[in-house]
Amino acid sequence: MSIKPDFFEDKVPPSFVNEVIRYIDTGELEKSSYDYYLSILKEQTGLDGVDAKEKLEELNNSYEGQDRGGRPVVPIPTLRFKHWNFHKESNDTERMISNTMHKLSVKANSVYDFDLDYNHMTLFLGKYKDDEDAHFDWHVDGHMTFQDSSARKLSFSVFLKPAKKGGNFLIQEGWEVWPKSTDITSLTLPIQEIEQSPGKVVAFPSYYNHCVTPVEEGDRYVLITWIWGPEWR
Amino acid sequence: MLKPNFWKDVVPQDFVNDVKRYIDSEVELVKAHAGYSKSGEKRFRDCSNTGKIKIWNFHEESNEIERTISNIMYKLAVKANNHFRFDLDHNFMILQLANFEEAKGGHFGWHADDHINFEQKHRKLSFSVFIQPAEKGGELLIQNGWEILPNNKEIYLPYLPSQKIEEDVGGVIAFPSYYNHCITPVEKGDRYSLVAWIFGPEWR
Repeated sequence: MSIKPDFFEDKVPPSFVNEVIRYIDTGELEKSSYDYYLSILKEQTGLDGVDAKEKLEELNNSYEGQDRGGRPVVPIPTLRFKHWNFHKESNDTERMISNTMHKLSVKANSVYDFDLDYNHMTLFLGKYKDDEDAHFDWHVDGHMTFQDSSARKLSFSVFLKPAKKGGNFLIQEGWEVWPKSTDITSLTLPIQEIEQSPGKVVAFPSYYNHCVTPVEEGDRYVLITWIWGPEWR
Repeated sequence: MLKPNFWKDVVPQDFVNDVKRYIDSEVELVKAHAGYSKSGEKRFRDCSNTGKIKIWNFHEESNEIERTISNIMYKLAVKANNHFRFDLDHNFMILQLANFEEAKGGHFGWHADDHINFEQKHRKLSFSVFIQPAEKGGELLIQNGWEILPNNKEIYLPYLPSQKIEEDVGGVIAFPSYYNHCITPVEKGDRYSLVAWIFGPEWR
């Protein structure tokens, strides 16, 4: 029986990297909104309206006595982004990006052999600005849903321009390990930092936990892609 | 927001009593082993597991009570999979009885039963049946892995939501085998459980 890899790795050429960076810098980017986090906060705490906003601000500004150079311990994600769905591109650059990622997803899936709907693909350009402490906290992209017939199955990160400091890309593989501390209730599963070099492509199953630590110096540019498919079986 | 889903059920008290009696009379100490190796080479150290266990394969039971347990779990697996709809090989099932003893602070560190590139065969669906919860400690925590509000910890610590599963006597919970989970150290009263894993082809 074949063993599937943790990660599928590939490379895209510098001309592609430069074109995508140029496109990120010329286009209008959306700023990640608090609305999504407010909805989670409501679900977790029942807080709504002004109370929820105050709680979110409190979390976002809590320092907890830790020395992080004046940065909040818990910054709410502040990355800037642009996204579109495959076949709904608005210009040639987006079409070029979609086509490149489509080919990469077919190639990666020759290894993973997941049930994928290649035509259901979401492309996401991200810019993590250092003056915004931009980051993305621990999360999975897709999981069991039981509510929707479609789930994100395969996740791609294409590193266009890593930050000079911070902005690390961490993945938790979820393997069995010794607890690192005696406090078993804190999660102590192994995390791995993925080396980022311009043009490097990494694909992984969308149920892997991952995060991007706050950018401290130099903006971080990344191209993210998710390929959807029927739920895991 | 999409939520993780567990499948829950209950088994009758008679069954719970039979299993408990069997654990008390039969379960022998087995040096618990949990870990992952690739090509014979250990990738990580073993996860700490201090439970006393007894383990067997479906269709290879050694007595009537084990056959009863296997048959009950087989039926539960079929029922649960009406919900999960995984590709499973229902005849490929492993059963495990465990006693996490108070005297040993019995626990099982964070782990996943299976993942994308486990060697050999693949556990797809994991069951826990609560035979006798500990009086204190010995909690089953499951990490859902959903996007959540960050908590007030350092981002390098993988803070992901973990959920404490309520353990009622006879309670059954099933979850995909790639969910991370653990048993916190038992502080008072031995914890008895019945665990089953249903195997199948790799995740697709």
